This record gives sequence, C-alpha cells and structure tokens, in this order.
Amino acid sequence: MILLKDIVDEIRKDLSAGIGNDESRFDDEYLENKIHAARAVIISNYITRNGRFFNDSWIQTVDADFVDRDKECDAVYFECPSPITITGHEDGFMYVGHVNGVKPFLRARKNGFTTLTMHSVFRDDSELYWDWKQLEQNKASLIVYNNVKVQRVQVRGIFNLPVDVPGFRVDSDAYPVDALVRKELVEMVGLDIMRKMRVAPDYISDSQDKNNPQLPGK
Amino acid sequence: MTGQDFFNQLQQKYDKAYSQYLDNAKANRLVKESMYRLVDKLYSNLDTQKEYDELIELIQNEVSISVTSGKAAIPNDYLHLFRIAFKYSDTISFVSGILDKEYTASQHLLRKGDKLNSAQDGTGTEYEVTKVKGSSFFLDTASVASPLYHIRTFEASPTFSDRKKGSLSGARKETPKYQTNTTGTNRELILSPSPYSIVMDYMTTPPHDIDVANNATDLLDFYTEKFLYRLMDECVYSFSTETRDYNNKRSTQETIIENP
Repeated sequence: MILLKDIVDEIRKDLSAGIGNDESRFDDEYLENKIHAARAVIISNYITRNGRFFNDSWIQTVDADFVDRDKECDAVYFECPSPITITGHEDGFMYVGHVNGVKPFLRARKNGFTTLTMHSVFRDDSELYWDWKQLEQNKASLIVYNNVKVQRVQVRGIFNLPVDVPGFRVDSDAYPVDALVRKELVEMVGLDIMRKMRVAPDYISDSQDKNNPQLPGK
Repeated sequence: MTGQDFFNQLQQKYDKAYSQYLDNAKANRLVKESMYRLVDKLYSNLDTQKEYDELIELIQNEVSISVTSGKAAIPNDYLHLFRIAFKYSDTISFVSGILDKEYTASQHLLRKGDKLNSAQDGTGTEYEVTKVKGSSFFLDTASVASPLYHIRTFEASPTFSDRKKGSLSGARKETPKYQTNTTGTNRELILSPSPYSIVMDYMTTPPHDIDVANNATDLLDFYTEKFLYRLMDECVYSFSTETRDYNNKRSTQETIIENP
C-alpha cells in the first residue's frame, strides 16, 4: 500500500543523500501540497495523452454528506470535495449516482443545463441529474435534481486534495496513486525543489534578507 | 580501568614535562571538557553502528514521558535529542450491533488490524479490529463495553520560533511538532497538538565524571573501553590547545584520524 507519508519520506530522502532527518527544512505539509498538485498534473497529462483510461487506484469514493433539500427547485445538496481538471471539457468526476455504484445520474452541465429555474427543463423528465458548482458564495455543492427524496449518493472521482476526502485516514489509507504515478510524482516534486533550492534560505528573521537587497538591512 | 589508570595512560600520551602544569584538579576539568567535546563530535557523526556502540551507555531509547497540559518535562540527564514520537488516544464510543462481535459507531475511522484499548493510556485490555464495514466494525471479542481508545503514534519534528509563520509549517496530529522551552528552572518541551504521552530517544549527559585520583571505581561500568582510549586522545588534543603546543596538536589530530 502506498501511503502519503512514504512518498513524503522518499522525496525528503532523495533530497538529502538517503538520510531524512527530523530537522529537514522541508515541512511535511509543504511537501504534501506539492505532492497533491503534482498528482493532479500527472494524471491529467496521462489521460490527455493516452485517452480515456482511468486507473481505479487514482479514484476515491465519497459517501457524500447530505446538506439541504430545496423542494421548490427539486434540488438536493451534498458536500463534496473539488475535482481535478483533466481536459478542456472534463473534470475528475467519474461517477455520481446510486450508492450501489452501477446506476449513474446524468450530468446536467454536459447537456447545457447549467441553471435550474422554475421553468425547469427537467419538468417532464424522470431521470436524475446532478452537477457540482459554486451556488453559494465561496462554497461548492454537489446538487442532485429531479428527486427531492434522494438522501444518499455515491461519488467517485479524482480530487484535488485526496486527504480532504471525508473519512480519509492519512496514516492507514492508500494515497490514490499507482506505482507509475508515484514514480513520476517523486521525480517531479524532487526536480521542482532542486530547481528552487538554488535560492539560499534565509533562516533568521533578523531584518537581513539575503535574497532581496531592496529590503532594509542591506 | 580506574580514574588513576586513565590518568597514567593519558600522561604517557602527552609530554611528561607538562605534568607540573596539569595537577589533579586541572586534569579533572580537562577530562570533563574533553568528554563533552568528544561526545558532541560522536553525536554529530552518528552515521554507523560504530559510533552507536561507543556511546552505548549514553543512549536512551523509547523512554516514555508523561504530558501535562501540552508540556513534557525534559529528563535531567538530557543532552541531545534523537527523536520524539507523540502518542494520541482517540475515544471510540459505540453500541453493540446485531451480529456476534459487531459494534457500530457513526463516522469512525477504524481500519482492519487497528488495536483498541480499554484504558485511555493504553495500559488496559487490547482488542483487535477484525473487519470494518460502513459504520460497523468487528472486534475479536464479544460484549465489549464502550468506550474504547484508539492509540496511534506519530513521529514529531521540531519547530523553531523564527520559522513558525509559514502556513505549510503547521502542526497536525499526523505531523506533530515540538519545541524546547524553559519555565523557571524547568526545561520542558511544548508539544502541539497535545498528546497524552511521548516517547523519546535521546543522548544523556556523560553518566560519570572521571576523577584522575580515584583508584576504586571501574570506569568500564560507565563507558566502553574504546571510548576511553579515544577520550585520552581528545584530552591530549585539548591539552595541546591549552598549552599552545601546535606540533603536539597536529600529531594528535593525525592520531585521531587514524584511530577515529
């Protein structure tokens, strides 16, 4: 099983000749954020270049938490983490539907139904539709239309921050990558940091900024 | 090897003409200072088993230290730190399920193989999680009383006052942080987020001050023989520095390189 802390440790060891110690200047959270971003880029590139293939080990399942129900608009709201961008017209959602995992709802946005009004295009339609968008200020929701009785949905997808998916336990759950993505990820983050390590660190807040002579102290 | 034996051999290693300069009190001070220098030199190069073997009497591993209000007292014999791990105890409240050995708890994060304990500090009866399904989990024992405690250990890293501002340098349960602090005369560690206990590997101060006049205490009870011979070379090195004897200093340096 590939754990996030193993990847963090691997990168840290790569950058310090095989010995990672407690006093590494690379904080865990710093490396983790680079890892999340690199993962999104690598998976997106892979799918763009190689066609619509998704390794299931990249995908996470969310039992989305019910938030609210709006009878007037036939809409049910769920909490759901944000997906990565894959191509110009696709994001990281793989499945949204019945909790049995084999009965998908239709994506509203793909059919051009980006908003729902009282003159709903779903009025005479019995299918369930869904979308994920920012309907409230600074808050995205997963919205299921056309059946206000829906209480549970299953969401499967590739998310920006895998550790923020509800129920993910960092110390025991597999980080959603396969060995190929892991290898590329370690290389990408390692090289990224090596490139940036040319900047000498300024350890102490002593008003002497080594890297920016315009600031006071030089 | 007693303190006297140690001093006799040390005197052979440097020019006896200086003996007048080095009376017993001065020699004790010299040995003590050289001891700290040597211990720190070895600490800084703890790369291989050889160094660990030489310092074996000074290394304390897996020492449990209790925590009060997010602070832990540093042991009196503490010299340098190797590593700290934080222990957290999460309360798992549950009700019995329908099936044998089945229990349910909403929003739990248990996984198969996790160990649960009946006591908050991990000293009670231990149960193993044998299966997890949704909000249900199964233990290896039937009719277990709620709550149980899930004890997890995470390695901690240091944080420094002048580097705390970064938003990606925060402390979380999975990546906790510690910092040294002093309150009055107490040296302590501030721990964040606060665990219920910590486990520490550290190097102690030298456990015995060598008295060059003592002919009764066996130094081998406190130090390894190789360490004592190496310490003599370190004493000669310090001594030649003090007496401004640069020829001697250089030749001792060579001896140390040849016999690290």
